Amino acid sequence: MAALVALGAAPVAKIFATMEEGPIPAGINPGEAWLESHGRSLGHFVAGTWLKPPGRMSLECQEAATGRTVAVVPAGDSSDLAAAVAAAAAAAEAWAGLGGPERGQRLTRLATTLDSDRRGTMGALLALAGGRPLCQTLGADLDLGLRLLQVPAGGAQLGLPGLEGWTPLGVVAVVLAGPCSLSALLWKLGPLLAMGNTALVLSSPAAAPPLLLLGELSGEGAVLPPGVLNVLAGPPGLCQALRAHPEVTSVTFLGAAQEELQALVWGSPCRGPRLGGPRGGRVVVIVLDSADLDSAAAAIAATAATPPALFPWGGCVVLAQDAVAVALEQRLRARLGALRVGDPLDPKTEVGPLPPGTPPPEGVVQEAHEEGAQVFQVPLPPLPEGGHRFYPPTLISGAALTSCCLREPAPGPLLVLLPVRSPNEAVAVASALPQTVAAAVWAQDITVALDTADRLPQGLVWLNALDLLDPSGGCAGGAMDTDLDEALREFGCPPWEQPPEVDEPLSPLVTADDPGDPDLAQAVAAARGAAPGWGRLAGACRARVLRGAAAALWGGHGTPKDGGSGDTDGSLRRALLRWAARVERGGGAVQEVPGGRVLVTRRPLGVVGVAWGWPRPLPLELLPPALALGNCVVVAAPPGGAGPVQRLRKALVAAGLPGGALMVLPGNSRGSGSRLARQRPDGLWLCGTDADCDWASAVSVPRVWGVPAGLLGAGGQDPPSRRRAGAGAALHPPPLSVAAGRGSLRPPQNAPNLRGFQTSHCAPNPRPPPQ
Amino acid sequence: MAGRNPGTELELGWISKVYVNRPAVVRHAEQIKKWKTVKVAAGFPSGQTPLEAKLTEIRLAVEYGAREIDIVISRSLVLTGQWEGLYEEIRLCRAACGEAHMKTILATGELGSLANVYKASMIAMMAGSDFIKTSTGKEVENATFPVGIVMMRAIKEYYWQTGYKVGFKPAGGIRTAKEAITWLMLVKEELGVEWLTPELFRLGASSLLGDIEQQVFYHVTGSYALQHELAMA
Repeated sequence: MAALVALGAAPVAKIFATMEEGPIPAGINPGEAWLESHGRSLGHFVAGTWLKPPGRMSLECQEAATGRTVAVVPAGDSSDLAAAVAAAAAAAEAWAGLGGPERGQRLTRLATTLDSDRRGTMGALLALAGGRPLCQTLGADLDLGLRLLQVPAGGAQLGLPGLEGWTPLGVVAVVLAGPCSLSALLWKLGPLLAMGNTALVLSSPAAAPPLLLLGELSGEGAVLPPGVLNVLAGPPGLCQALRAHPEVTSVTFLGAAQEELQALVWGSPCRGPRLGGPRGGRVVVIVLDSADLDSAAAAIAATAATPPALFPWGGCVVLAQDAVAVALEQRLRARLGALRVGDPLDPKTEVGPLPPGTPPPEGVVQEAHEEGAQVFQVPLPPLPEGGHRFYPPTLISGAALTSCCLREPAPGPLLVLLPVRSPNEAVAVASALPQTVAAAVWAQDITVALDTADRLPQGLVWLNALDLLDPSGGCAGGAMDTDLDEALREFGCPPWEQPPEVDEPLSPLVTADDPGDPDLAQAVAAARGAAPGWGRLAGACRARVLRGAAAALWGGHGTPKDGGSGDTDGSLRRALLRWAARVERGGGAVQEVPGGRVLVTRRPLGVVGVAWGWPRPLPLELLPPALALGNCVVVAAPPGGAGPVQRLRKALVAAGLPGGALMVLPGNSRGSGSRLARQRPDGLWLCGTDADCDWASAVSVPRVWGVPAGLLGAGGQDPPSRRRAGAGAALHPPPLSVAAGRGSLRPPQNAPNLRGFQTSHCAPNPRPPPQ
Repeated sequence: MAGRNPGTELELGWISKVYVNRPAVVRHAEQIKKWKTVKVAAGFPSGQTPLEAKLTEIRLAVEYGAREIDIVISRSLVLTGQWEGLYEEIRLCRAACGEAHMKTILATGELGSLANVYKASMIAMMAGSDFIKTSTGKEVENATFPVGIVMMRAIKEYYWQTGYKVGFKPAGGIRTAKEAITWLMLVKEELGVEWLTPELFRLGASSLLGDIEQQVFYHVTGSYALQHELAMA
């Protein structure tokens, strides 16, 4: 007994009374050991070696829980950036030339290295820098991250059919604009490297150590050739210097809010960087009255404690049906009270500190309290450094719909509980909540569950589960989903795309205080009104409309009735008929993933705006696919050019197209792209001169395409079909990009046209054998 | 609810609203496994003896001085959904036990689904059991973590509704000290520290004792005991 007391253990009787868990004997922290081995002073990782520019100011990397400085990195500046871009550009051709299978193998080797010996180091560094508890970073996060490396690698090895002829972009910069977990980074990096691009990662000093370890691992044993993966640490403004480098063909921002993206892009000469990246958001959990409340409460509490790896920002909004709201709240309070808050490096901890750089959501909670909501907070246990970087798990119930805690995602372990009357109301509220990336529906009644999941606008919907993420099934990025094909396409250049020619920078054409455009606004509003009805029609009905239009236009004889300005002979008719057949076949897929199945269904974008300017002819063949797949199109045509489109419209309306589904607006074409973008359609085609659109307004549009000039040039052949076949099963309007000519526009690549439901109706492991 | 509150009516409206999501519970159990912690009478082991025989056994056992009685419910009543019948049976056994401590064995391996386990647990508690026990230890499938989780959630719900604390005893299939510690952690997570006392939580195991002795031996001496150095279990 005396010996035990001397060891510092509590007396046995006391342990039996409190039944508290003992400390887990901590060995050497492998993360700290790695930092020590570098003398706590890291550099940039460029061209396969460490780059430590002499005499540079250092920035501190701080531990998330206590604020203690664990390492220093040099403050990157434009010369470092230039060196990194040069290294990446030099390595780009060789890396692309290796070929898909070889690249896949290299990436698999990187994943294996990460898995085997350095797992502990990576997990410890992630916990140290980011504040996510060790049990998550060593477990689910790292597993997901490895799969995110291996699945695209596998895809590149197999040579996916939809990607024939796609070439890599070149040098791609990934800017971590905020707190970001390894999985979120690898979700972009995996497909990026697998497609043959070289990567340049710019991160903030707080998040740098794990990324530098990743760089070092890629250099060890020449897993990746030098220059393929470069990591730079620097102050937040460093990414502005990217504009000076035309070799950087694409920029992906991770963790940036939309306003920041706009600020970065406004007024910048658009030299070609393709923007893209997931935006922060929350998970909406809908608990209906036929749900297993205990399991739902357990899962929700676990999600509040450590948010899912791919979207670690926003917390959780729980919509509970009236009949079960009180019982669910009781269970949630019990579960939140049992969460263990502590040092993230302790394997027992479930709730870590707030990610570095995020302010605690004190204001939000205070406001909720003042508005009269009940706020349940668990008192914090004694924590290192007084715990000012931690925030206690909180449950807010009884908040009004307009309350601050619902308007924006608040970081930290914050749950907001709202009672709803029925599944309909739940769907309405879930659609109205801003910035939600995923949803979960808990209900044992399968019809209700599937129907509710069907009507939700979120790209990723879980059924009776939370946080089952698998890259082959579909991961959420922003409010949208990408599956493997699309993730790879995002970093590739389709065979029909011409390389960009960069001449002069574009300048914004329409300033912020231009008067609005009432006709355009009305047309877009009409299209929005028609969109749900048109989109929900069965494929066969839409096919009938298209076939009817084809028959009406050509009377079934195959000869055009009019001169067909700008319309090659019969190709419009062929397009109408082909897409009618295509949409009748239907689509969607079921993928099997560990833990369940994913039902992947594709939905129409919504309202697509077409900005058409002289002197380019509008390729009318592009309208049938958009309409066939259930979108509504608003065409802003130049004066005198609307004739053929109006004829097509009349034929379609006569065949049964709802009135708002295709709207044509004659009028001024200057800046039509910007004006359309201002109306916030779900997709935007720019078919005109390049001065038509400025980037700042285009940032708010999920998908932007430009139509290449040579589309209609190849007479005789059937260019659209080849392109559509090349787009694989892509059902969205053909992803043509690049308007040739001055400047080059590359679209932001987030598309809400792929929705997956992840269901877990099968248990993850088989039943244990009878004993 | 009737058993402990004589005078109130049996109310079964909640039966149709019991939902248990098996995959989620199994996932939860898998997660927990990864963490670094009776005088028998009345129908033993199959519960298929007629009710009169069960009641006679109980009365005789109480007469002979038994202070703890374990009864096994008729699984056919659960599988056919005769909840009033099940309640009546357990209530009669409770009456026959008198002041003796009664454990109700649910034979969870035979009940078919986790939802049935939940419902049977609630009925057993409503009828006045002091402990609910997963199995006799002689069935094919005994105490597994998913079943334990569901029964503990039922106990918690009963406590919230009535204020009575009913104990839990998993029996059968627990062979190693590590499993036993995992059960302790599960009880702590689902029910709370108040349940971690012998009055409210017991483990039914026979070979477990030998394994615990081995582990204690190892922690004290640094090596495992040879076969002859420990008592025969």
